[in-house]
Amino acid sequence: MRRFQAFRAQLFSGPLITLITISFGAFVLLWMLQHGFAAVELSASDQGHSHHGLTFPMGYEMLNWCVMVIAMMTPLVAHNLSYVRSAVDARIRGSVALAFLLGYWAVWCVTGLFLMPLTALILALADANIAFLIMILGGLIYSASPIAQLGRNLCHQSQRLEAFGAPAQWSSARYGLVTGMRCTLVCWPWMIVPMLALSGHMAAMIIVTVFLFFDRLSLPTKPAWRIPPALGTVFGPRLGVPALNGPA
Amino acid sequence: MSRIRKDIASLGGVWSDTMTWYANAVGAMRAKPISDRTSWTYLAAIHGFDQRGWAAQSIIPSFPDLPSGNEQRLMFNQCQHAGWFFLPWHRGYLHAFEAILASWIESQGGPSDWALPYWNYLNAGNATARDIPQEFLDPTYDGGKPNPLATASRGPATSLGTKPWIPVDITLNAQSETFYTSDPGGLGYGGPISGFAQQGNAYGANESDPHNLVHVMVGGGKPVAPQGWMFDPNFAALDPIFWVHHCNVDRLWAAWMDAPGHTQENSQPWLNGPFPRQFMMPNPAGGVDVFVPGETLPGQPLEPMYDKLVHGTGKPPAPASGGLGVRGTAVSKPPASRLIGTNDTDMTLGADRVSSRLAIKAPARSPGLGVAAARRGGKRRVFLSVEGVKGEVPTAVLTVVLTPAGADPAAAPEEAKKTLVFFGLGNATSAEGPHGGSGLTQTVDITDIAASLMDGDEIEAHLQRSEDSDVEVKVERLSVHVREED
Repeated sequence: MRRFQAFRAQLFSGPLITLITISFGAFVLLWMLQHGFAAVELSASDQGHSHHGLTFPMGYEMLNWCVMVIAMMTPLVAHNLSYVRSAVDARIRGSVALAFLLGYWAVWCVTGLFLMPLTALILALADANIAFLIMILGGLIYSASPIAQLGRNLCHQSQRLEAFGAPAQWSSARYGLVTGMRCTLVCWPWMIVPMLALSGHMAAMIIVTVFLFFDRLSLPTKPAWRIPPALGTVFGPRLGVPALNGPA
Repeated sequence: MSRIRKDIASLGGVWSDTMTWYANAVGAMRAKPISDRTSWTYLAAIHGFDQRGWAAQSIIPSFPDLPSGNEQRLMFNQCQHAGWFFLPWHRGYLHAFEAILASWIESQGGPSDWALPYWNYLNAGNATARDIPQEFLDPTYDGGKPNPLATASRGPATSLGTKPWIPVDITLNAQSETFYTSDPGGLGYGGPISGFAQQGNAYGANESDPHNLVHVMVGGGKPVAPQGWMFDPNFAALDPIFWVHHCNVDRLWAAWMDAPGHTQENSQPWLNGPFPRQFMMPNPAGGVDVFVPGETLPGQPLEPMYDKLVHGTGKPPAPASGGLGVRGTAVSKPPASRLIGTNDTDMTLGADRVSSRLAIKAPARSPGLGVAAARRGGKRRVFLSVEGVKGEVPTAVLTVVLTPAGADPAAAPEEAKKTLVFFGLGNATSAEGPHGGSGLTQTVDITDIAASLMDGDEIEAHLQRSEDSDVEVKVERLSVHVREED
């Protein structure tokens, strides 16, 4: 109960609520995009196109991808954004925070150029249901790996920011770019998972978003193979520690 | 059981019953292996643990019987520094330590009300207050037995005060801070908002002075590395003097809360502590308890009792009808500081002095800025922040001299010289620690010198390290903030 209270208190402090609101808005937009395109999808199916073959116009797919990453990845940068806001002139905090987010989102949008073709390749090679399950397993193994922990550690780092005017915007955008690159190192396998879901695409996105959010709440630590940190965050510190409440 | 913590100097001379039992208990706990949650080394490792370094100094065997890896990750290296959990975490830590020692002392036929004493080093009414208590220096006690309280690696100091390795004295300045929580760029009593040492990376006023200074005065000054245990958070709690020092730091917090006009933080994120990692302490039965900062506040289970909160705390004697009964807390919302200038590049400090200029924004130089605050009976305070300091040394001491741009720092007045201690710098630099490698920030009040500096467009900061070391220290940014206080 006390862990839940601590979590709830953190949820309502700092910029996290704003970021969750942006994320929610992007989820709604994505839903509208996908359902607004239903008529086009029917038409596309008549012409031999299909959604999971990723044969829609590239611009549309990229738009979907970018909205998807804004929905899924935005809540992960709350502590980076707190740092950005505290390091600059108070009068430009809003615009500098936006510059950071634009840099961060830009990296994730570009990542789509690699991950979408990779998804298409996986679908071409394997049954979608099997690929979906294998990708979840692969994501869990990757999250447990030292390389993912190295990326998580890097995600928590700050860097020098300029405080005033245009230099502040640029340095913040650069920090957003760097944070985005570090974030892709941690999260890239999980971004493929929702795209492999034949049904419940939106539900898969939400579940992965929550998983990655809890993953990012874990503290930096020495890179090593360990239980995926998101599970430790959710289930509590006693995970895997016998008899912690009794005499040693 | 009501345990009342008392001033070592008031216990009735050297080797009082309280101190003798403290030494007995430390000796007994030292005999236990680190796998035992009530052992000396386990308790010290909760603050900070460096397995290789401990083995190199024969504190533990080369192949010790350690707790499981998971337990180490949960219990060891918990110490909260440079953030708003510094004071409540150490209060819970002292409570657990005291309970374990008191339980052993009672089991051995000692007093049932034994309490950890405090080293009241800022008591102006005691001429020898700053001397390290004799019990921590005597090689033997109780008829010639080796003295466990003196078994520690320390520097040459036998008293606190200005030293060659730390050219500044301890003060009670922190006690005059009004708000608990520091705003970005400003100073508060307890430090800025932080997670499990993840976000917050700046010291509060109490932690800066006297806490950090005492650590360096006692642990520093050795001609060759490694420095004494108190110098390094990964060793500090191995020294028995650590506990009486922190007991006094905790008492200063108790006195600060008890004084009128101070607002203690009690927002939900502070009261409930960090997430997902929480504060966990062993108990005398060998189990583990979780605690949250809210439990350390007055009236709560972990509140300690002190014999008095006056003498050495800056708190005036309470009126006859007052005393320890004043327990008010309120939301601590500090006035926002305004950033008015930064330097233009990061800095690397070796053995030589490095200078950097800070451009000050024109409106901040206006003499009218402080008028509104003065009209309200308030004041305008100016702060210098030394931000993002990183270095592969346990602790670094920097001296900053502020001058008008181009002026000779050697000719600067004494108030232009500020000595800053970055206790735990190495831990904060490690990307694999809970700080995430973002380094440390130290904020210092420069109101006393600001008026003579703000005439020009720029001020110049001259930074120099106080200790001899080949390891470079990097400073990411210097910034100046102003705060209008009521």
